[in-house]
Amino acid sequence: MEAYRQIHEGYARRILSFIYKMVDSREDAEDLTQNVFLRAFHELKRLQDAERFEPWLYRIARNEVYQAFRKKRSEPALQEQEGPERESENALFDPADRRPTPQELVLNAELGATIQNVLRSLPPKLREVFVLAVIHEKSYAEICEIVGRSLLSVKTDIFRARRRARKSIEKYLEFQK
Amino acid sequence: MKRVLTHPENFCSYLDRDTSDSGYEQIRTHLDECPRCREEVKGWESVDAWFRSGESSIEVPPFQWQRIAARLQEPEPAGLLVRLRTLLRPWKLTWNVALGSLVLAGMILGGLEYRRNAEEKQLLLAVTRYVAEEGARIRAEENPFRVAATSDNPFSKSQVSVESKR
Repeated sequence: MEAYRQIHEGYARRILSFIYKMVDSREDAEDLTQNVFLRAFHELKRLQDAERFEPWLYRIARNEVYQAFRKKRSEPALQEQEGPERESENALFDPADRRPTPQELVLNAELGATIQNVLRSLPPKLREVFVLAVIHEKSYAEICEIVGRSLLSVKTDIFRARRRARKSIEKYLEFQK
Repeated sequence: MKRVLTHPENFCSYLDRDTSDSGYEQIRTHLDECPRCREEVKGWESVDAWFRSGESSIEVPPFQWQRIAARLQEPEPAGLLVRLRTLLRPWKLTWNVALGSLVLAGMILGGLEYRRNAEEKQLLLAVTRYVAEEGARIRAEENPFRVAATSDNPFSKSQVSVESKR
């Protein structure tokens, strides 16, 4: 159980971040993250190569995300409206020394919301490779393994996603021309 | 030089530090001597950095591990087949006898139905044959053209030819 706890501690944040960026709902992302770890721990004996654990975990996360998409296909897109409030709620549970200041909370929440807005504009196929390559800094080989696509397709989609993302955030950033 | 600027996909490998790409070193060397491309790459890098900066706001909910641990300690839910078998186990003999009887009854009823169908088929064939034979007999008796072939028929072919010769 201790080993499982360590695995969760080491990967939960990354998996939660990936899922959150894909499903765009904090609550759903937390539930799906929990499912990912439960599934991973139940199926751990199927993992052939321990070194491939991280891509394998991401693949489970990706499958959970697409399952959630299929379930909610008929429903309207998930919207997270309560981000800052939830942050404040979570902050109540944190020890005082780790608690961010109100300004930091607002800035973080604003930045997070803006990033989510940009990511939301990308289709899931581009969003997943963009999040993995740019935000999680995974290698192309790992991304191919996670999404189950060819290197060429992954590279092309990363470039397309980058171009679209850059266009979307031009109003937030001042590029040096 | 121009190609790098107009085709930013060329330096995606550079941005993602994909050293296995053959163009990586080429782009790196080119960037050392081209300020325009350096600026371009800087712009793309700032986009990446902007997206990464949002990562600090992601926090795992405080009691997630406890919930997972609690779920892991629960016995694994049995499959539908196992649950059904467990449910039926106390009446195993009864169910077996009932199932056996059902199969036997099915076989008997099926056999009877087959036999009845075969008999019906035989009867139908016999009736069809009888009707066909009877029809042929009646037609043979009542057909006027059969009479035309006899010698006392004035319309007989041979009679007509004799008359015309005369």
